[in-house]
Amino acid sequence: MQTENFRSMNSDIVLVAEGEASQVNVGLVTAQKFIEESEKRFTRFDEQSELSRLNRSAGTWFSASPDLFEVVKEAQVYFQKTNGLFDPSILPHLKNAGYVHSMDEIRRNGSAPQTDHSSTPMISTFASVRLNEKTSSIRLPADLQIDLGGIAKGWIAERAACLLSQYVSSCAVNAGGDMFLIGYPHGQDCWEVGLEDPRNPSSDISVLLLQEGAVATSSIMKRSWKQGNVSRHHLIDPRTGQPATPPWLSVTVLAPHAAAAETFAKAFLIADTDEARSLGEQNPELTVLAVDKNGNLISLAQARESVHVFH
Amino acid sequence: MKIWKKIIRIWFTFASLFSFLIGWAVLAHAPKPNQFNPARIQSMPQLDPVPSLDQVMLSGNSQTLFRPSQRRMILRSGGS
Repeated sequence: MQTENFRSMNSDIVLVAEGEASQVNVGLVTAQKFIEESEKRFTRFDEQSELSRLNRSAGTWFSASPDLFEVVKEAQVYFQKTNGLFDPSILPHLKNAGYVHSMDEIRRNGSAPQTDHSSTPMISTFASVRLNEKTSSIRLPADLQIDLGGIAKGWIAERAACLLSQYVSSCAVNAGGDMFLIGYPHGQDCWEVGLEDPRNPSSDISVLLLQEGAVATSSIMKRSWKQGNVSRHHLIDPRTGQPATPPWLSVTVLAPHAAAAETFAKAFLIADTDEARSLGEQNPELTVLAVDKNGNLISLAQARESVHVFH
Repeated sequence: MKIWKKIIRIWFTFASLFSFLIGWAVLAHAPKPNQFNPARIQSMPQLDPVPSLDQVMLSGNSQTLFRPSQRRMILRSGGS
């Protein structure tokens, strides 16, 4: 089993692959290149990125690359499926909470800047974003800007894993906890994935034995900062425009696709008890685990045909 | 030739009838199979129902399914 570690998308990236050595090396290089190019395309912290150009074009049609078009299209699907709890149009609220620089930069500075909370309220919603399949064009309403941070990392991890799998017999791509697994390590019938303890990130609260597919975790502990004396984190509740105050420290979702796992992890973290139950019933393919403030691991939803085993 | 045909017919008729009667007699005197008797069935022990994952977790016995790891995993999911 060969591994490659590097930093991209303000996250630790781990590529794991098994197969014929020369092919594994080619596959790892190809996957890493794809991830780094995707970061340049989807970051909102670079004025020249394609996402920044899309946001500047709000109110007009924007000719998008196939990758950006596909991610925005998937974002619309999961906006609907999560009943609006995953919402890429919370960008102004994120900025108000002080998330105006990359997380690495905020950590270097020690705190986030105070921002103007009296921004113009948005009237449009993410549902009003229009897509033209024929011309691969996107039209954002004039008063709407989007952040794809809640879906792009999972989507990139899955695409990178699919690319890597063309060269190797089995592989995994982990993008800061959002990962996609293809095949199995030699002689095994599952992948072992450590579930990080949100109260103590250096230790694991449990080990998940996973089948092929995706796993993603959202945590209010990871991307958090101080804005003045107030603690902030990046998981904005779209209903209030403020960082969510959930009963959970983290939520982990197992799903067939990484974009689903990542978006539902955010949705389940933000959802109240009734909404979480409803989301679980509407999406029986998901397995959802939450860690509460006392470190207890709780199952919020269990896929009916799940073959996931835990120990 | 006609007389031989008649003799062979009579021979087959009597041989078939004789074989049938012999088979009947043998089966009539063979031991009978066991008859179904509900009283002879042994009662099965009562088993506790297997708890669901939710029940196990809510009862606080989650350690049987979720065990803290002692070693460092290559793949870890901790939130983004």
